[in-house]
Amino acid sequence: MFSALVIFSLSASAAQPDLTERALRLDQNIQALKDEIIEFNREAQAVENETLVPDHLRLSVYLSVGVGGLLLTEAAITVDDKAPEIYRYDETDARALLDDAAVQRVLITTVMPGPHRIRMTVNGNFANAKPGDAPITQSYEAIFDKDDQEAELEFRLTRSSRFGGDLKLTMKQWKVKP
Amino acid sequence: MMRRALVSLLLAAPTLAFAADVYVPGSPEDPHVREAQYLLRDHRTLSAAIELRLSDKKNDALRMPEAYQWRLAESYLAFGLRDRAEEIYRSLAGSSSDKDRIASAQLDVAEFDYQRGYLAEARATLYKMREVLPESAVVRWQDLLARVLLAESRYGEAADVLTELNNAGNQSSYTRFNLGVALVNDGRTAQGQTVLDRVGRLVPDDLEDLALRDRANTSLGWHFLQNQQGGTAKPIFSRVRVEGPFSNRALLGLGWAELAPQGDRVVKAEVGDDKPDADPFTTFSTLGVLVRPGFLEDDIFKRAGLRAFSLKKASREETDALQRALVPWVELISRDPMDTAVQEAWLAIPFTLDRLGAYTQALQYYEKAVGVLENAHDRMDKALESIKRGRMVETIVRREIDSEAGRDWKLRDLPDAPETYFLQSLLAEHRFQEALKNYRDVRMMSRNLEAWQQRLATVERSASNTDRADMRVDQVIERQRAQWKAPWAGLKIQLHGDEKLSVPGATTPAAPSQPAVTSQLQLSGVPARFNGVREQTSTLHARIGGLREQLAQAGAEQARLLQDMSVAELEGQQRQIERYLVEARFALARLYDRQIKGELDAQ
Repeated sequence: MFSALVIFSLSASAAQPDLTERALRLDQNIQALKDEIIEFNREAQAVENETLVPDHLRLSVYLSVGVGGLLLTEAAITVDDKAPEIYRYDETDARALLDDAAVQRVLITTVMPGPHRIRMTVNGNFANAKPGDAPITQSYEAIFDKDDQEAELEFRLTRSSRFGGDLKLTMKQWKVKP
Repeated sequence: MMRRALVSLLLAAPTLAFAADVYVPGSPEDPHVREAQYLLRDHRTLSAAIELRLSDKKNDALRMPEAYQWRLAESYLAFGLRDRAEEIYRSLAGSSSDKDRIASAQLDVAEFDYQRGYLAEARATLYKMREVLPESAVVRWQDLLARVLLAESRYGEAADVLTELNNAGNQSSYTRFNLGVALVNDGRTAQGQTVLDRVGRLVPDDLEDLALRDRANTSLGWHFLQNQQGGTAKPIFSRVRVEGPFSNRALLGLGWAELAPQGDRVVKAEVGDDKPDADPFTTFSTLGVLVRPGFLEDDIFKRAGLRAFSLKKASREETDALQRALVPWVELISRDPMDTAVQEAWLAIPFTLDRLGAYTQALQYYEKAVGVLENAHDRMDKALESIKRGRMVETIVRREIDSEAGRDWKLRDLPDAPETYFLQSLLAEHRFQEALKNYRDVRMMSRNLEAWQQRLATVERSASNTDRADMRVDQVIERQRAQWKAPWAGLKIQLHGDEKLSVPGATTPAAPSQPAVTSQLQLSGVPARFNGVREQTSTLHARIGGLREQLAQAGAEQARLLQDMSVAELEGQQRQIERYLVEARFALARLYDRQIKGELDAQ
């Protein structure tokens, strides 16, 4: 009677070669479709960008976090007198932002060439914060000059020195090498 | 006015603009590459791949900097585009000096192949890596190659791969378990038993270790049972936890171990990497403690409704063994009757009672067993119907319908559907999970295209909006000039000075009657077609139609595959229940027959 359990038996897939073959054939087909979807998105996104946020008007704002264990809850960006754009984080995307090499594009919009005021405010908590600990809040405001190329600004939240110190939010402007 | 506004802006702002930092497209500093890294970490694999493809203006990924290529290959593989990823990794292997990273990437591709069922491809990749394997990749390489070989039933090769480098100390407990399985299946039974026994004694650090320990002990216990060594199997089964994924099977085995031939004492084999055996006892919640006489609550027989019975048939020694076998089985039948081990216990108890001569109680238990098994059969029918309606799969994919996690997606909890319970082991298998991931991805891509229909409509409206401010032609020309490069840029023209100067009059002057050479200017041809925003969006709309049709077909085929896998699994389990039912009914009929003939004594 105790044949019900054969521990070292082959997996069920070995007994169903047709299912295995079908799975592989379908996987190949879906890989080809995935490839096409990526290329479609690339082309569609390029047309959308060209029309709605053309290079000469485009402003891209990025945010990076260089403080271990700091999980953002919210980032708010205000350009000139426009209403602030607010991004709210869940734990997954807050953790994703802790990767050293990562930046998050928090805003893509259009602005006319010339000087503009931008303000970034971030809120968050340390992963090991105790209930009742005050949330972390940092702000930075600056003027940047928009020319006829895409403007790319990165806000970075770091500590004031490599060995610790207060938190600080800074801004850097990027330009693609011609 | 403008000047005044700017001055007030400058006065009010705390920080002024400063010089920009320059980045090379595709370099580690490129915000697009870094944004892709963020998207990858956020499990948005499709978005990461699109972000990178969009920033490759020349549409030639293999000519982009290494940082870009690494990120793109990672995005492709995470999204399940194995061939694209491998093409880039192959190119990087020729250019990158980071051998550890190359090896790790190749292992990622092989892992993908293994999980998706491309076993021959995974094996080929791994064997090819062997000659140039950096030290950092050895343990992972061994573990993965062994799993691939085990899946192909190449047990001997798997065991050799895990033992030839003599690095047992670096291997994980999972790898050691696989080695034990490989050795046993390859006929090196004694060595395999020793390795499994050691895994079964490991001192656990977490729940995963405990589950692995239980698995090793259950596997080894049943192995001894199948080899008629019940005496050796008993203490092994006793190490399994009371509650856990293997506890029911171990309880069933523990009962059979009492009835099986006890066998000879097993001598441990040397496997060349021996460490002192750990004490297998690490917790009180093991089966050994549960079934210890006198330890269990009151009287387990009373709990099962078994009255004292007179013994007519078996010898004293056999009677003791039969009574000891009843202890774990009585515990087992108090558990979920949909578990096959519990179902078998429902048959094992009346079988034992019959052997003990407790015929009336055997008859009652067979009748209860038939009821339990018929109920399980009905539930299985309902589960099969539910599978055919696709409810379980639909519930699973709807939970995170827009998730782009690709191959990183994990089934976190099981839906409340009739078939879920029966499919637990199938749901945990790679072949089902990978098919499920593909099905999810197809659904997610369909929704991506659906969203694009709206987005393209917005683009069209914006492009045809006549309320926009007029563009200044001089600025448009200026921008185009800034982006334009002369086709002859970089071309060097060198002039050679002739060594001899001709005598004046020696060259033939042009005839005065000949007309002066003038360049002919012509109007260029009219472009065959204009490719403005309207034309581009129109083409994209047409592509959406074609792609959605293909995705719908792929989705339907994938759903059918999942359904067929589930049905095959359930039908296998249902056949098992039917076999048990036949056994129970046959045993019942036999007992009734003997009762009618007056062969059974009253209890």
